Amino acid sequence: MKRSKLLPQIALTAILGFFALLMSVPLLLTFTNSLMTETEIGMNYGLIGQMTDVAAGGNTRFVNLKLLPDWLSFGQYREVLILNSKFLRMFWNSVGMVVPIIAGQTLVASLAAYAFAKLRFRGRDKLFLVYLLTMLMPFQVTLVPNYLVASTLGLMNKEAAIILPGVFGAFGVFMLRQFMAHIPGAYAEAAKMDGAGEWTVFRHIAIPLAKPGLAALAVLLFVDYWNMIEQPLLFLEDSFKQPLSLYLARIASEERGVGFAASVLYMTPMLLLFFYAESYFIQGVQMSGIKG
Amino acid sequence: MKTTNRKRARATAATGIFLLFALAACSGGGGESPQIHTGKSGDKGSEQPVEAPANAGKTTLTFSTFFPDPHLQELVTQYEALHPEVDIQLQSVQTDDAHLEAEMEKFMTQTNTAMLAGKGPDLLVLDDLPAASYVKNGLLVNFDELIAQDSAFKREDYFTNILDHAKIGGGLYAMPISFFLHGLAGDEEALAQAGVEINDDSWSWNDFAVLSQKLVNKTYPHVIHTEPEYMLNWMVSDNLSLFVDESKGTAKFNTATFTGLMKQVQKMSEDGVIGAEGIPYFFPVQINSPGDYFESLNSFLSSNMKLYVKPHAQDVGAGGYFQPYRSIGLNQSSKAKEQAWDFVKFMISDQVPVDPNHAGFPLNKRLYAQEVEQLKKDGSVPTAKEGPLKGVPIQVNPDELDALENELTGATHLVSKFQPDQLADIIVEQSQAFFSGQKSTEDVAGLIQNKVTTYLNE
Amino acid sequence: MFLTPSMLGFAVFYMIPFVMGISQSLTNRTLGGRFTGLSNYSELLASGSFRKAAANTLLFTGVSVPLLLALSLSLALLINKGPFFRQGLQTALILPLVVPVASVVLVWQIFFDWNGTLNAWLYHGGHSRVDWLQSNGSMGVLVVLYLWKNLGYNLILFLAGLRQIPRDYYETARIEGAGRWHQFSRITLVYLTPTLFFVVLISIINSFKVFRETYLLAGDYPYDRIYMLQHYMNNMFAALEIQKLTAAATLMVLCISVLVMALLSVERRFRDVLD
Repeated sequence: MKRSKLLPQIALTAILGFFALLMSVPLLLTFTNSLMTETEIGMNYGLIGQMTDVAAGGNTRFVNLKLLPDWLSFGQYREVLILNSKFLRMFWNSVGMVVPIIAGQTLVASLAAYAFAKLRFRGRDKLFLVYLLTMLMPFQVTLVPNYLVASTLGLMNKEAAIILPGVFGAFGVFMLRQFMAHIPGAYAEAAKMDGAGEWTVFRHIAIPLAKPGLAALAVLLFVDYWNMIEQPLLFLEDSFKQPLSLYLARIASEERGVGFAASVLYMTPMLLLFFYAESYFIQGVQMSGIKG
Repeated sequence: MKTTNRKRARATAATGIFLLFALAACSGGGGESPQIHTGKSGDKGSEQPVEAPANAGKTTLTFSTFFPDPHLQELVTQYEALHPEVDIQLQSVQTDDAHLEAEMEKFMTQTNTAMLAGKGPDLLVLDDLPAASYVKNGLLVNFDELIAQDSAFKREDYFTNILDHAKIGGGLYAMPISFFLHGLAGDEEALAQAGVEINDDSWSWNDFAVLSQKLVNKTYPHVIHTEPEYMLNWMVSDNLSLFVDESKGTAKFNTATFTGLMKQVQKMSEDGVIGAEGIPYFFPVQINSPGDYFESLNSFLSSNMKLYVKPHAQDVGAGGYFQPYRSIGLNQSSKAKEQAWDFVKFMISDQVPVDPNHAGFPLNKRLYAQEVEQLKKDGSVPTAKEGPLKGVPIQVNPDELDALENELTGATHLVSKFQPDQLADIIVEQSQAFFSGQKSTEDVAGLIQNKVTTYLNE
Repeated sequence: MFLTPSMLGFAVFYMIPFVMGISQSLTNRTLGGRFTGLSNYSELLASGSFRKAAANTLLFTGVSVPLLLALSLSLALLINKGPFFRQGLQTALILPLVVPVASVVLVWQIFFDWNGTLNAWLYHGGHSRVDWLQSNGSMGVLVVLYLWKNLGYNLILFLAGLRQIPRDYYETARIEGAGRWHQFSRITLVYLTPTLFFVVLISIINSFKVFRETYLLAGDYPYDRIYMLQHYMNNMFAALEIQKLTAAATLMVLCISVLVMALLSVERRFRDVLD
């Protein structure tokens, strides 16, 4: 009995392990390359985007993919963290924008999501459709109108021009509505029979039941806004206020040497968040589908 | 049920107004940005007539340029000294080589968006912006109209050929403070020895290709100092109607004609007509000033250099090529157009002399005359220590100055048309793979055909 | 009451710009334009490049989104079966999500550039080089990029969604003697409907977001096969052709909204089951 369970599990681990390894290649590459010296990076990847003369042997020269550095070096990190004051400032700018957005959107969206999922009112589904449609609009279209709104409200070149739209984003509303849709109507009705108001139902039934959704939302919002590019590009003219994502939006060939270390540092906060939040997606489901 | 609904609606409205106030309050209370002043010209002061003691006290003009520019800063400082009631905020972007492309993209997006939103700076340097698209969207003021209304403006004070030919979409929307001359510096004597006669009033790139056959491996190893992909682009521009029909949106690059042209250019390269190393008959040059004219014509290792007009593209009449430099645009949405026009006139007036080395030829003829006078007085032009002439000064020849003036007044073709040249970008970028031997003619021609067709049909 | 704060902010920052954007498509000019009806649309439909972009986008989304859904759902189910090193495996699968654009582009260049590693392998194997991003395989390169980048995104959503299904449903089903397939189709899939709806839409939206990487890899006029609506719209914005841009975007949103409404009606059936 026990052996018959062990074998499939090894097979399962092997399949997933294969995928995981495949998916991790770019990440591993980034990490190991972050420990190379700038010269080594230049030598390895200098040929990217070049059309070298065949007559001069250009047809036999290639980018040199290397996983392990010749010399272990922390020079890139030193460059990014110590010599370049910009990096750390941009890092904290990012934190200063992303944290309020997550807190705000989770709060505002959970309220709205509850209304869309569990309350009945006229035009509910139509209004929800409107929320969805705005999400589909490409950013180029709303660039000019957004600019007008921000400048009318006097938000130009202020962090609020990023944070406020972030707080009211439709993403969280949509996502939490879907997660609250799971909550059986019977729960709420039973609570109401006991004299609980909507607020109590929301606070003590909807929120606890939507916890996996909330955790997932926080993680995805973090990812989305940590990576945002368009909004700060337009609304924060002042380079002093720009987030880290703009630093890594594009790396010129001159800068490849420090790009890897910058990327690794860029990813760290998200990694930490994953480790912390992951337990929320895991617990509870374990083994649910396979017993017997 | 109904009453609660109404109550709810009222409560909603009240909260809404409260929230809006809160928004406005916290945005209004925010501190000014420490570094750059934003391009938002929402200052009420700018709506006041110039002389009136406005509540803000001053008329504010915002003026945006991508590259920081000491000359513009000098113009601003001097103008403000003459007009204490005007405050001009010159904004620029600090960047370095590694971030140039990213910063440029950002600057474009920001400026395009602000202009389309009817905000944006009062004045802006258009050199790095898609000014032709601004004109199409009616975002800029036509200086021709301002000139026509302004009796104090005397056209004859300026290079009128530039005023007439720096137009975009039928009007002068970009006022160049100065301009560069583009041409070919060629060795006149060596050309005569080879028995080649050049009529640079009307020669075309096709003519150039023909006569280059006579020049190969005579006095000099090469005919022109350039890369094959640029030559290909010039040849295409000379035969444009063979390849592109803009009105129909069709391209014909996947034809024997085009692959033939590619092979012709490749042969020019193999024969040594084109070469980036070794001495050629012709150097493509950009002349920046009277002093630069002498330096350029003497620094290419021959003392017999003459400035020729660049060969012409198809359907382009006689005349030389110029590139406007520091072209100023006036925002149609500006609230202080009169003041801005006054400042533009100041910028092209003869009140602030230009730095003779790198500023371009001034649009203002009197400024130009001053420069020429100065040159004649000095009698020679100093050269760069690290340049090919190693700091040895060059004698100024008054005859050559007359020739230069002819070139300047005869320049009638814009080098760039205030919009990105997608066709040239595509041809130059893709054909590199062919000239380096990495891809076949058919592959490259196919790709060019592909991309150009997409571009033409957007 | 629950909706008020969200609706206010939403109206200001999303609704108003959305409506303004659409109304642009009915005028002839951005500032002080006149109403011109649907003329922008007829001009748009006459544009060969727009039609090509639309077809490519449809193909790309139509292939990559279902592929991503199938892949991420099966991986989520497999993870839920509790392999060894579950946490580590799960993290490794989610991680690509956090890699910044610049690194993604660089890694893809290392592999797919003309001088890249794939071509090095081809060369050493005695074959000639392929310009991957300028070939008919270019869309495949993008599909791989999209799958790699967004698998983690969907995995998080599916895992959270699966966790919400009460375990006793499965137990009840087992007691009633339901087989595995039955459990999957009658419980897992049914109760995953709201999550699935969300994941489908977000996957579509994310499929448009690969544009940033594509743009950095292949420029504004890429190979024919990967010239997508996002390229068209981006080029139109750069050329300040706001009317064509907004018309194109409005058409695109209209098309997706048909799908959205279909999904909403499927979901409504699910809600009736639950209530």
